Amino acid sequence: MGAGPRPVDLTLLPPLDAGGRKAAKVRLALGNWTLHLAGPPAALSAVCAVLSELRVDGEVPPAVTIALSPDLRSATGAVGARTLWTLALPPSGWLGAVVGHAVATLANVLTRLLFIHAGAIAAEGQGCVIVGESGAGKTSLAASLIRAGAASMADDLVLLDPEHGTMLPVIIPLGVKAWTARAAGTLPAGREVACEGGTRYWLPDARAHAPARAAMFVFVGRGGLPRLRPLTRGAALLALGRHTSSLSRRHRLEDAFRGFARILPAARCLTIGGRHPAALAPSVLRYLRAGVAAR
Amino acid sequence: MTENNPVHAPGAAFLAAALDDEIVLLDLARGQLILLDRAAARVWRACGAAATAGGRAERRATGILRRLARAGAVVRQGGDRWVQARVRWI
Repeated sequence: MGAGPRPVDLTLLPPLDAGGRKAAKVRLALGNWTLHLAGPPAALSAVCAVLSELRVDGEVPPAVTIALSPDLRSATGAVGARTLWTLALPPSGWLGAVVGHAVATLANVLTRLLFIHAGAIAAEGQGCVIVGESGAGKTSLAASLIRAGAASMADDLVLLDPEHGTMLPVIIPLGVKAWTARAAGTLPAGREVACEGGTRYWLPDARAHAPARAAMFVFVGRGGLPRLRPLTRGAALLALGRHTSSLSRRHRLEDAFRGFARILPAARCLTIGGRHPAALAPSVLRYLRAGVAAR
Repeated sequence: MTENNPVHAPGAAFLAAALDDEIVLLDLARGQLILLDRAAARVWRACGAAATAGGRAERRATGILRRLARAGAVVRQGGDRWVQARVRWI
């Protein structure tokens, strides 16, 4: 995976003064998506560090504005003059909340690409979507796969192009919580771009810069036997319906159903059981590479 | 047959996608996905021609038809006649 062109255009505007506290505005050009941020400079710096590698391609979503209050106790998200959400920020963990809402807002304004709240990696042009509930072990599995030779494709938000059967890189650092670090063992080569609220934001060196074929869907469950088991594509579509995805957005329901039904026939679907899905990373990679060999 | 939501009503309009031997139905009115496994898919496809269940020896087929009816994917038209609900294949 080459370094590729730098996808971010940061424009720092002159700082404003809000009630005696310094505030700033930043415009992030993230591929086809523009994110305007306003708030305390140190907070914006952390948000930019986490989002700066994100690049949206494949459609042009409307620009989103996120404003953090000077005391960092609340945030709002808007498209144009329309406020979409207001969020009370916790003293610890505010960065994850802001980044999560930025990414969720992007997912909600898409009209053509499909999204899944999931992680993803790629190896040799073959992409693997890792779906699971929060805390199921998605990030630790992704970290183990990257350490074993895969490239990071997405963490938190996976974008799929139903017309081409591909997934697009949505590079966000791995959100490594204490239990993730324990499960993953050694993190893949990379660097920490931010650390807040007990979460390290770890940007792996191995990152995908081009779309990959949506070749595999892995559903991480809790419990059960620690092994990979095949899942029918019908059951995979139903499982996607249970997770946060375009299927859970009423206005996308029909086109999401068509899109996922178009992508899945070319994909291999598996479930991972057991308490330590990261331990099965070598098997997942073997399955992914076997698919390459079979093509 | 598996559903992601236990809401049932007959006569809904569906999108249908065939994935291998299975069929996934999307109940457009309720935003509900219904997975028909291989056996349920065969029974449901047979209802496309207003088939009767009476001729089928298998109790399983009748059981599947009743569950399909509860999900709204088939409608009983008196006696043992069952027909598919309105559907669009993708």
